[in-house]
This record gives sequence, structure tokens and C-alpha cells, in this order.
Amino acid sequence: MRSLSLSNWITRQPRFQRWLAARGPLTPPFRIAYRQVYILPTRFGVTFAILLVAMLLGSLNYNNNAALLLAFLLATAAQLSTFRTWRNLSGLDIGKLHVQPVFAGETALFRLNIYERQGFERPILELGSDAAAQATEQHRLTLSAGQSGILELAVPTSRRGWLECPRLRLSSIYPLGLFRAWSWLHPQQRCLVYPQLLQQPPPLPTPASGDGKHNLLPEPDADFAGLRDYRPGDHIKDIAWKATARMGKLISREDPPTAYSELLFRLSQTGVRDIEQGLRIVATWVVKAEQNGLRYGLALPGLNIPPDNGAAHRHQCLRGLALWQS
Amino acid sequence: MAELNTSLARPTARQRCLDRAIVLWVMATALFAILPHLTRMPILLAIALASICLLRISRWYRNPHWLLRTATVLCAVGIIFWLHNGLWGRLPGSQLLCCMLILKSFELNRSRDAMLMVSLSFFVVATWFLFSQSPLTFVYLMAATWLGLTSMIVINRDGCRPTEIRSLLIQGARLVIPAIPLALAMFFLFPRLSVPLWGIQGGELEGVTGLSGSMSPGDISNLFIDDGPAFRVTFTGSKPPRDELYWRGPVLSRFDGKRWSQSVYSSVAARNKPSREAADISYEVELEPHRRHWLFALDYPAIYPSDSRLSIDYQLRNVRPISNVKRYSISSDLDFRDNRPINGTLLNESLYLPSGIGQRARELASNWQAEYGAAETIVAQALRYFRDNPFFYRLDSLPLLADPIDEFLFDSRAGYCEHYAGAFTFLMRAAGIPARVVTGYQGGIDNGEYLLVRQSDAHAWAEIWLDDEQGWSRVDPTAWVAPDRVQQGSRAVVDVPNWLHAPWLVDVRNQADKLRHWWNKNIVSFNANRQSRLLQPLGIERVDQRQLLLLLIVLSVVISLVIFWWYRFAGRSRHADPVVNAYRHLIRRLQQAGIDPPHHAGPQTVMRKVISYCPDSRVQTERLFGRYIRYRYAHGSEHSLDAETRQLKAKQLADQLRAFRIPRRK
Repeated sequence: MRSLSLSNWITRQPRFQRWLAARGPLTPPFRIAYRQVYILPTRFGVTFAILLVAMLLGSLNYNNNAALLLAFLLATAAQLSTFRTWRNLSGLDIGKLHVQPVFAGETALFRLNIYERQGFERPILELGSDAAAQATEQHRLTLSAGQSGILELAVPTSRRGWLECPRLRLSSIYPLGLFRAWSWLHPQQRCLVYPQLLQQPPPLPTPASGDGKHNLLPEPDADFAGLRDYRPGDHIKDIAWKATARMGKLISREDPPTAYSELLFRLSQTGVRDIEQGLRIVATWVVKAEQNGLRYGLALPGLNIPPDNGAAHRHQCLRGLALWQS
Repeated sequence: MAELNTSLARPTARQRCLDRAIVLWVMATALFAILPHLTRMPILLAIALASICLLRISRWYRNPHWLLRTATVLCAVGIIFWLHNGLWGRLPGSQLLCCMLILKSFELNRSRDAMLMVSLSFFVVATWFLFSQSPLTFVYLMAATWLGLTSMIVINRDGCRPTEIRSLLIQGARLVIPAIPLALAMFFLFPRLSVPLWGIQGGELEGVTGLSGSMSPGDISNLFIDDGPAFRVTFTGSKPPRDELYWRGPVLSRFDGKRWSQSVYSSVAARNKPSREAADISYEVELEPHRRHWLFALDYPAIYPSDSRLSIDYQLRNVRPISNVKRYSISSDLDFRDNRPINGTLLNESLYLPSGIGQRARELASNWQAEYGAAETIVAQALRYFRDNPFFYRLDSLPLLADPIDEFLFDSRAGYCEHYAGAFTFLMRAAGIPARVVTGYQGGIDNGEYLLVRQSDAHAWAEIWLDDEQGWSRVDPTAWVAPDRVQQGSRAVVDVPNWLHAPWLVDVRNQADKLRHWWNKNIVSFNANRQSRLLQPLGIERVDQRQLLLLLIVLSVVISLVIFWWYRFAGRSRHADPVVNAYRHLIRRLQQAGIDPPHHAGPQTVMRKVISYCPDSRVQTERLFGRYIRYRYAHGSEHSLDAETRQLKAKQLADQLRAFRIPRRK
């Protein structure tokens, strides 16, 4: 799918961008207008054309009319297939683009909704991009008439922060594979990239003294202290899962740990000088603390998030880390 | 939600392996492409290729080791080389291409390989037309294109389920059928070459039936069983009687005891030609390709095509071998006499007798010479000899091995035209009369507007030099033995199964030949010359190629636009429910009217949009959309109705949806 460097150069030219923009909206949601479908031969199409020219020259030379007829028939069928290829995209409704935050080093999955509303089958639509993108199972899709579907584009990430969605190309080479019709999509969508997770982070910090609270952290589930049998009515968060797994029956924590396990992560606690590495450690701690059901917060310069827990809080903390001072 | 992301396995570029259905389609296409070639291959090679196809389909092998692959390719090249003593030429070239196509299936792993194989199959199909361009091959052409394009669709779809075959074949047909008018326009209007760009090789005689440049017993009788057409003749004026229809072909003067062959002078041009004014029989011949140089004509041609030469023994030879159907016009003068005196080598050649054979025949002839003297009388005596002795006209006579002349004249006395012509010529020479054998065709079947001459009408007769006044004269000894052969055609004397003579079958064959005639006339023999006269029916005498190209471009654009318009709507799938179809139609009409409902909108939203667009239409809009919503989404009430009433209601609603007038904004 990676195109030639010349076409890359052309598509980066401002004049080309203006010309493109003049032909219709590029930001989803929109409906692909007939002027927004471009078509060129594929590499195989060029090979096929060379083959046809050879056939044409040979049969012209020998005035072999049956072979000539075959060459013309194939050439016109190939030419008419452009209509079909064009129609695969024209009039397709492009819906919203969705993307979930990821940790750096993972791949961001941009998911594009497309809707077929013209009553045609749209075989083998393909989502691609000029940027380095990985193929997923779902980057090709066939829509039958009236159907909708989701196409995915996987973009590898390396740095925390915002990842702009690259310009996308929705294309189709159906039916003969001799021509590729495509449409540009320029979604103003970006993916939040959290700092990278570390495989072996330093242990969670002990709560800093002087917070005014008694928050001595017991290593969760390290022993059976503070555990008791499950009683109906216990909250699901109070179940000590590791102990449950070990004992073979449901075990609950004696007291909700929230009372004494409030953590406030600081960069200084990580013990590394590299800020990026420090952010990675803090992000890993956030994930761990959330897993263990602890209450945690952040205290970074310019970023103070009071302790809490839950998915939304986790996202808030990670988002803060992802965008911190960038 | 982030857990979802972390747990999502990183997508890996899976090693893609071709779907089984793709392999099946591609191999079927390849097999179909080599199918006609298989009939011309040695049987073992054909079996090998076909079984490789079948084994690949049944997955017996995939990706053999590269050493094995290379070895197989070399082996194939070796076999072809050994079969044909070379790789250059029509037959070895096409067979090599077939082998390469099938061996490509050894590495059929990616869709790129599959696409390449399909395109190569098209090429192999094209090479078949070097061998045959009959109307049947046209059917084959269409079928191969259809199959090939459908295979390409299957490849680009990543396979096909058995239930999809029908719809994919329809899609393939939707590509082929609209292409036909455009392809025909290109066929007739695309500039043709009047002179070939590179040389055309001749002399490849494999598998083409027809007269050869020499004659030995058995050559012509092999043609008797061939019902294929040799040529067709359309007389423009009067038609000569049947027993004058001797179509002159190769003239054979040299005899080595076994084989008659052409004179060394056969490339010398004729010295006295019949005058153009005296030529009263004019006709047009459509000659099936026979890969040799001869054109067939009645004696003696006065006006003949400019790219042919008339030799001293009046053979009409085309400059290039006839590799395509050739149409030519000829005028003949039946009364012309070639009476220019012969002498020197030419005379010696016409009297030469090889030593060691035909001793009894020589004795017989010298007896006649001594007894009668005059040439005419000797000829009459020889013909009387054939008539009075028990000679039979038979195709299945025994082969004459040691002495073909004596064995035939005195022992077996059974043979066919070439035996009679050969023996008669020998007798004449032995009696001191210059003589030679002429081969060609005799007669023909009247097929309505034209005369059809089949290969089975091949014939041989003799020519003798009587005197300076009469010159060379035709004598047909076969006519004395089997007059029916000349009067009624070869069928009269050949024993063929009775059912082959059934009138309906003969009729079918004649009709089929009429089709073939039409096909040859309009398609196969179309060339640069005919192209320039294409617009004659419209009163334009000649068009040059620039004008043709212009016409082609205009026509192509018009046809393409029509097809484009059709493509926009072809294949639009219709919902099973007519109400839904009507609703979709209404939505499209709304879009055209400028009320553009968002594409995700349900009927409620659309209704609100219409009302806000034109508040006056509120009552009717609400009523209509209300009914639609109840019909589509409120199932409870409808179930109480019986099927017929429900259908009736659905139809009413569909009609109302279609009849809904889109309100105008005031």
C-alpha cells in the first residue's frame, strides 16, 4: 500500500492540498462525492497493459483477427471495470472515526464507520494511509447493500502525547485488480498516547509522611491479615481475588483498604532523573494501583489530581501524564 | 477500556496463503486455455499437463523444492525441443507457452501469482487463433474471456463460497457483455497495418490439410475423409458446367519412381498468358488457409491478384504462404490453349522415366506407339485400356510397394485418382508423349449463392502435349473408370456410412458452412484494404486511418457514456420488501430536492426535517411517515392480519410512498 515517493511528494504540495479540498469535504462524516474518487492503474494493471499491447502488436502484424478481437475485448473490459471500481466508492457515507487511548509502544487503532445507503454491494474496501501503518484483520471489508461496517487502521505509537490521525485513503481495486480507485479522508481526529508501561517498574512508593493521614500501606494480599470469609452483600471491590484464588473460596477484605492506602505519586519518588522515564514509572504505578483497588492521585508540578479511583480517574491521571509539559 | 487495548494482540502480517477457491478458479482458467492446444500435443505430454492441473487443484502438491521446479521447466523445454527440433515457430512456441503456464502453478502462493496466471492464460488463448479462426473459436474466445475475468474477480474477492458462484459469474458477464460493442468498434476502426512490421514465416505445415507440393499414393485419399472446406467460389457471371470445374493446383512433372514432384521450372513465369479480354468466367474465391503458396483457379487464369505469380506450367502462386483466409478475384479463359512449343530441359522432364520400374508398362506403351503412331490414337487406346480392363475406383486399395506402376496396371487394378493419373502419365511418357500430373480440386457443392469445394474434392489428373496446335491438353483417366467421380463429386464413389448422407445432416453441414462463409467474409479476412472501404455503403469511397481513428474515439466516448450510465444503476440490490424499496426511493428523491437527511437518520428524523423544510405539508407528511413507522417497527398489530391483507396493505403503502409529492418551499 505504500505508494511511490513521487506521489508522496505531490500529495504534500500545498497546491495539491488546495485542489483536493476544493473537491469536497475531507473530514468525516461526509458522503464521498463522485468528484472525490480518483482512479489510476495498479502495478498489475500496467503489467496487464503491456501484455495487451504485445498481443495487439502481434495480431496486427499477422492480421490475426480473432486474437485482435480478444485483445480489444480484454482492453475494453478492463476499461469498463474502472466504472465499477469507481462506483465501489462513490456515494459511500463516511461516518465518525473512533480511537481509544493507548500506551506508547502499542498500536493505535483508528476505527472508521462506513455506511452503504445506495443499494449497491461494495466489495473489498480497503483502508490505508501513506504513514507507516500495519495491516489488521479488519482493514478490508465488504459491505452488502444497505449495510454498515467498521474499518480499522493500526498505527504504531512511540511517544506519549497526541497522535494525529494520518490522512487516510479508502480504496478499492475490485473487480479486476487492474485499477485502484481511492478517496482521501482527512479526519481531524487524534489519539491520546499514554506514557509507555514498564515491564518491571519499581515497587509502589510508601505513602509520604506528613500528609496528615494514617496511610500505611499493607502490601495487598501479601498475607491473610485483614481478610475474612465472604459475606453476602460485600462489594465486589472488597473481594481479595488473589487470596480467593489461593484458598479456593471467596475471601473479602476485613476493611475497605481505601481508608489507609491513599497514594500520591510524585516524580521524585521514582528515583530516576530522566523525566520521560519517570513519567513511565508513574503511569505504570497508576495502572497497578487501579488494579489493586487503591486510591491514588498525582502531585506533579502543574498537575495535581486528588486521590480517587475508578476508570474515569485512571484515565484522568494517565491523560495528565500523557500531556504533561508537552 | 484501556485494558482492552493492552490485551489486543498486535496484528501480525499473517503469511497469506491462497484460498482454495482461488486455486480452483485459476487452474480451471489455465486448463480451459490450454484445452485446444492439448488436442495437438503428443498424448503423453497432454496427459502430463492435464494431470498437473488436476493435482494442483486437489492440493497434492504445493511449492515443490526449487530444484524440482527448475528441473521440470528444463525438462519441458527439452521435450518441446526434441519434438520439434527447435523452439522457434508457431507450434513449439505455443506448446512451450502452455507448459510454462501450467508449471507456473508450482508457485501459486500469492494473489499476484494467480493474477499473472490468468493473464498468461489469455495469452495462451490468443496463440490458439494462430491455428484456427473458425466461428467456433469465437464462442471459445467469449467463454475464455468470461471465465478469465470471473477468475480475476474471485482473486480480488479473496475467494468465493459455493453459493456465490452464480452471482460472480453474473458479475463477470456484466464486464464482458458491455465490452462487446466497444470491442467491435475498435475491431473495425482501429488502424490496421497494410504491411506487416516484421516477417511472417511460412513453411510450417503441421496439421493443416490440403494438397502438398508433391504426390505419392495415399496423399490425396487421406483428404477424401476430410470434410473440411478448401475454398468457396462465388461466380459473378455465368457458371461453367460441372465437368469443366477443374481447379488447378500444384503441377507435378518430376517422377522418381515413387513420388511425383514439381518441375524445376515451376518458378519461371508463364510466357504466354491468356488475354484479359478473352477471360469470360469471373469469380471470387475465399480460400481457407493451407499454409502453402497455391491459389486455385480454373484453367487458365487471365486476371489474378497482384501479389501472386503465374508460373510456366500455370500454377498460380501467392507471394506469401496463405496463413489466413484469403479472398481473391480471378477471371479465367476456358478456351485458351498453351501451345507454345516446348523443348530442351522442359521437354526432357516431361518425357523422363525413372529406370527400374514399369517394365511391362513400357512394353505396352511401345507396342501402342508402334501400332498407332499418332498421339491422339494412343491416348484413346490408353483410355480404352482403362475402361475395358477390370479397373476399380477404390480408396481402400492395397499399398503398392515395389513397382507402383506395374502393380497397379496389371495386378491390383484398384486405386483412386492419383493412381490413375500417375499410371496414365507414365504410359504416355513411355509412348513418347510429353505428359505431367496436375493436382487440384474437382467439382464442388452448390451451396446457394456460392460453390463449396471441400478437401474431399481433391483430385489428380493428367496433361499431355499433343501437338503445336493443341498444346497441353487435359485428360482425366479417372473419368473413364468412375464417371460419377467427375459428374457427382467424390461422395459418389467413396463408401461412407449411410447416415452421413442423411439429407438433414447434409443440410446442417451446408448451413454450418454458410455461417462459416459469412464469418470468413466479414471477420476473418477483414484487413487494412477492407477497412479503407468500410464506409462504402454510406457513399464514402475511401477513408484514411486518421478519419477512422477520429470516428473510433467519438464512438468509444458515446458507447462508454451509455455503459457508464448503465453501470451507475446496474446491480443495485433491491430489498425484498417493496415498502422499503419505495422508502429508499423517497429518500433519494428528498436528497435530490435538497432536503438532505443525515445519512444515519431514521424515519422520525427525516419526517421532522421535511416538516421543518415546509411546515405546510405537516399533516400529510406525518400521516405518511406514521404509517411507515407503524409498518416497519410496530409488529404486533400486523400479525393479526392474514398474509393476503398484509400484502395488500404493503402495496398500498408502497404506492403512497412513491406517490408522495415533495413539498416546495414557499
